[in-house]
Amino acid sequence: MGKGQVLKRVLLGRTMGTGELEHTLLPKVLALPVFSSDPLSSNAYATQEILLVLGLVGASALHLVMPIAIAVAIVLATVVISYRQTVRAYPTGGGAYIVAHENLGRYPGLLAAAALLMDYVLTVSVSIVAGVDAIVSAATSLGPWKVPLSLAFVAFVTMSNLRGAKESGTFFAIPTYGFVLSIYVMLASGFLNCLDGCPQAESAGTHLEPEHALTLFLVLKAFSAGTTALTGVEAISNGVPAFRYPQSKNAAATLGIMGVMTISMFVGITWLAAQTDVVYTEEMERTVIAQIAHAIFGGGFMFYVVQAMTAGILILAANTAYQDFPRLSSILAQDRFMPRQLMNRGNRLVFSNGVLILAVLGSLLIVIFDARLNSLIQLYLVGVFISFTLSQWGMVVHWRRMGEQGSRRRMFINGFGGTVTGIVFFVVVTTKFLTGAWIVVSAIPVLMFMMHAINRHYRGVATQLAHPERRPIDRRAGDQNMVILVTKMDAATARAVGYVRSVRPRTATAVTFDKHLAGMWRRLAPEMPITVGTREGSLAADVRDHLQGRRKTMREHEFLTIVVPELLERRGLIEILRRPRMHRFKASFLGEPGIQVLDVPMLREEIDPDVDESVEPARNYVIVLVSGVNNATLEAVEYAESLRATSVQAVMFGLDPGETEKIGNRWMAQAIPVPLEIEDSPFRDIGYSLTQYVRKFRPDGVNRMVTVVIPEFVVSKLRHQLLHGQTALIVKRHLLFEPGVVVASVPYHLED
Amino acid sequence: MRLLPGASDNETRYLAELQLWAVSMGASAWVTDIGPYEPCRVAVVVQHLRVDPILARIDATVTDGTGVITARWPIRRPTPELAAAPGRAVILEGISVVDECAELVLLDPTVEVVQFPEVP
Repeated sequence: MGKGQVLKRVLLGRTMGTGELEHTLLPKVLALPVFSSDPLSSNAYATQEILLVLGLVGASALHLVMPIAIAVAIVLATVVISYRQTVRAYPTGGGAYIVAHENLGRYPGLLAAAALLMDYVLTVSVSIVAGVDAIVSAATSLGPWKVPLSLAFVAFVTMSNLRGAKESGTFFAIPTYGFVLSIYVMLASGFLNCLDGCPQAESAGTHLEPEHALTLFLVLKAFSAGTTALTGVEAISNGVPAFRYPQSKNAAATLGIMGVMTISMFVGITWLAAQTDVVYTEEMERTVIAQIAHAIFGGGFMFYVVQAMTAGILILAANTAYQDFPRLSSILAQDRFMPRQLMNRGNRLVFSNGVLILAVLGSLLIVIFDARLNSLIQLYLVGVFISFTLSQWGMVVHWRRMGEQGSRRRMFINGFGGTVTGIVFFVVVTTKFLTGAWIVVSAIPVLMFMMHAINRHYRGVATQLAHPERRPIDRRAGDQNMVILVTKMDAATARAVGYVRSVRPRTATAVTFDKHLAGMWRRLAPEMPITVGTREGSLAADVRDHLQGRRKTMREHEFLTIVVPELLERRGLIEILRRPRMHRFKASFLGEPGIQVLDVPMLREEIDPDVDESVEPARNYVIVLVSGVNNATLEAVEYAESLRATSVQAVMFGLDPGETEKIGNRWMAQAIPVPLEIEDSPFRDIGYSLTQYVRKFRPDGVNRMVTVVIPEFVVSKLRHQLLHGQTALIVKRHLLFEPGVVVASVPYHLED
Repeated sequence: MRLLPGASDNETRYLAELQLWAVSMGASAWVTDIGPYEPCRVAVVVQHLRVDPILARIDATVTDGTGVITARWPIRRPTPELAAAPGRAVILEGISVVDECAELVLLDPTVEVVQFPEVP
């Protein structure tokens, strides 16, 4: 195991097989903290946000906090009841995106997806910053360190999530249940204290200079600030597949429990805030919860418990986004609205790429907004209410389509929920537009456009790959031409000669730019004419010119392969990093139409002075690496057939049983005259799986060679390259040090 | 419990669980005990699938933790045998024969895809 792998194992734990996925599913007791920490934790700042807005009118308006909180609680109850219907109707999860996409159409679906993705990023930033605020409330000297502290907590939550859902659920249960318990203890203590007269908060009686008159707009603004208590309600509907069976029932029950807890805590905290006459402004060091806790418990032990648990749940509330952002990104990638790299699970059965992207974006927002909670919250609610509204109206259409008994009642519930959240959305946008909501309102269409463009690219690729006019013609062994690049006369070059001899191509030649090598070459391979070229530019450009000249003498359908021998000093990533020019050289030919690249690597430790490497090997087993049945695969199969191999077979590493069936059927429908082997890849590591597969042929470089033919998509634009996985590179890296293995890259050029 | 030679600790545990599961699914014999020209019912996990248009057949390499055997079907339409994808747990019921390479295979067995149980 290399040092990198050891570090990965220490940080992330052992690689988990796909069959262990069931073991990562969550029981209700763990699912609640994982998926509900966001809505539960928003109680820590929802009341505070209402008071902040009402404070603009002066202390006289603060009494409105309770009626506003009750209005928010009614909206919250409506949304929870609505979403309980959604989780039962959609057991595979997906939330607002899937509901809107299936019932309202493509563009409402994209709108919901864009809103949710932005919202998840903001959840990370807001929750972490609010958590750090709670810490600073208890230790005010940490105030100047808010940004680095926030980034450190982002890193911590990211690492926890990269280790896997079940483990993170176990760890996060403590602060979540600790927070709930400490708040209920605070509420109970406060209620009991208030029987004899409520204690006053330290800020009670603080003079607030009125900056605005009390208007309906301001009341609505305070209401929209309080609706931050609804953030994260969506999370459970997205995460239904993460629950233990029966998944829908458990998810609905968890949603109900979450709703009861959130509403009771929110109303309770707001009541206590009103009773203790809390005043809050941005300049204050202590949050509203901290002030209430200080008033109830004094500066004693329970005050610090409340603060610690509040900080803990706020930081971990970001975890809700870490569950749903990668899952939603994976669903969008499957639907080809996001890059394919977001589709699959990593070593620990989590969507690692999605987790990492979320961490980067969340951190960026924290830095840009200087870890100021109030600034971040202005952006926060727009996406939430877009997704709520689209989801509820999507459910109305769903029930209408179902038409079964009870559909009318269900339509009414979801319709009422959708109307309420739609109204709140307009209130939120109107009241927060100038203070930050405009950023989100502008960004959402940009994100939708990007997803649409990605989908258009993937559909274009799929069309080209399936187009009958781009289907390769039937080429055979006599249609192969090979040119060996001679830069040194070493064992690798001799092995390349032996390999080319075994293929017996129509033409076999060599090219060099060092005239001193020509004489030695003629002794090594007298039957292969060598051309001595003149160096005019880079080696790649000179070789390309030579190949283009050769290409003109050939028939259009013939293969022309540049054979590149490589003598490697030692195994390992260091050896790869030492040779960037060689990698760039080989990669540069992938963009050339009509040219394939065949890499003949050899380790110095393989050199045996008693073995003549230039003798053709007795066996050449050719394997075509397949990920689908399309024109690129057919091209690679024809290339494989041109190598006069001992045997040719295609191999696919089965990631999904459903896909396996489809590909098997298509393979037969296309009448491809090559067997297809479908192998299990339990750890989803194609490089490792292919290496193990290749070793079954026992290649030794002398008697037995294995040629791995890899079809590669080639797109001209860099932004399109980012949309295609780097599987070929990963596979080549694994195979580079395998004795007796050569790799042929067969590019398939896609038009833009 | 029968073990495959050379198994590591994790593999040993997995193979043992596989064998227990096979018994619970009503397997009539261990794979390693199947003789030629015997009807049998086995509960197995598919390791590898080969679709061979040239020989017009589909081969699945399966195991129940005691040994490995090939199940073989002729290619025909539709092809329900492709449900026996690698990684899936299946019940196969059919007759064992000796093929042209003197290998024991389960010829044209019925396929039932089942759920592999949760590992305790």
